Amino acid sequence: MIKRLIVGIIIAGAVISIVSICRQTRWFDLSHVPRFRQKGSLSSPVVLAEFSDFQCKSCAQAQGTLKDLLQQYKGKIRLVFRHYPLKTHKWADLAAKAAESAGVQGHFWEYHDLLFSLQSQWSHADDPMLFFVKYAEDMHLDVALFKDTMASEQVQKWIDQDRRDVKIQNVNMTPTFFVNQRRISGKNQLAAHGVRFVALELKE
Amino acid sequence: MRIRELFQVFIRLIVRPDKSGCLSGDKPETISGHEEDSPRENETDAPQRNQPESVLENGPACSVSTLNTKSPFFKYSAVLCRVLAGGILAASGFLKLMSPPEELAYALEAYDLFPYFIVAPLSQFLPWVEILTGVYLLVGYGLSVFAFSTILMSLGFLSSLVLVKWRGIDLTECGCFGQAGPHLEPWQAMVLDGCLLVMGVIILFDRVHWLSLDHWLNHQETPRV
Repeated sequence: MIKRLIVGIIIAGAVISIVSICRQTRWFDLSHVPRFRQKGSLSSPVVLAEFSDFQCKSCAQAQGTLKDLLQQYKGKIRLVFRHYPLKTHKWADLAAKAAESAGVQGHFWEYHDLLFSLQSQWSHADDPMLFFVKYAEDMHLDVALFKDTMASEQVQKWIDQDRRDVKIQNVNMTPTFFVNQRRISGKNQLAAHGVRFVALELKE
Repeated sequence: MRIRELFQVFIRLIVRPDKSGCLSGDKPETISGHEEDSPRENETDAPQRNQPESVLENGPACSVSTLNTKSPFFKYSAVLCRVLAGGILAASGFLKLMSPPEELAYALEAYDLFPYFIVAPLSQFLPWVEILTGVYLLVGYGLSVFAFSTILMSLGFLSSLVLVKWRGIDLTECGCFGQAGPHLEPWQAMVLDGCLLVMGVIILFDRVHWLSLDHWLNHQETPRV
């Protein structure tokens, strides 16, 4: 009986050890994220990183909660937007490039809000580029520069870097938020834990 | 009643019925499958002596406890079921553990069955139960316990999926293998859970425990004559 028990414990121990070794994750750094994708002071005690996809419905729905949270802790949170265009979303990558191009001209957050609020319009279009250009025109951006930047290598590099961080941080879904190092997956968890996590981080 | 009939048909498929059509074997089953050369044979005779007279006169009743689990078909299918069910559960648990628990909690939230204060610990606890059950089944340790655990889990998963379907909740994926693993549609998950349930039942009825750690441990514990 004791022998049987010992065998069971050894097997469980081996499983737990293997899983623990495989589970170790590294933390990303935000040094390479362009400043235009960061909202709030660099010295803010709390950094809220958002991994999002412009074509994801839940990401669009989470924006209201996120804005309320930022409003509540104004001046204490730095919001950093990270691209995670999912492969299942046909136009997500293009939308990310369009937002980066608007960002180069200093209008990332306005364009970001527009992409989320008009998501149903462009996400079902055959050629979303028409909408992206129209939004740029409405915001009085330099359209030629906007198109050139979208096709540039630098924009692709920024997005690829975010994709690498997605792997490093083991992010598998959108939207995923990090309040410093505390993970929040999805809009419901953001609504349930966002305020509590920020308060805890501010306390620490 | 109908379920019982279906169950009996299923049992007839996997075991060898005797001449009377009863599902019992030539003699009552024993625990370790090496009854010919072990003193356990005497132990299994004891309950027979305690049976009511009517049973002794008419022979053993057609019940699950008297299945002939020594049938070669049963023996091989039980091993196959163990490997398949163990592999599925171990993979499912491992992939869930490789994803952050918050993501599993997100998938469980979509079922809208439990409040978050239950979902949060469940998302931490469930993958460990799955991976340990899977590994124990694979190596053949504590088979009765972990076959029962497989049955309970698959029943739990199945009923959750049925409830979600019944309530009209649009579940895009089941979260069976975590967010990083293969994404299954709810109907695919139902089929998988149904298979797990059947395999769990087969493993539970297997008393031979061929190619298993249990078999080896039983040999070790049996006193040599």
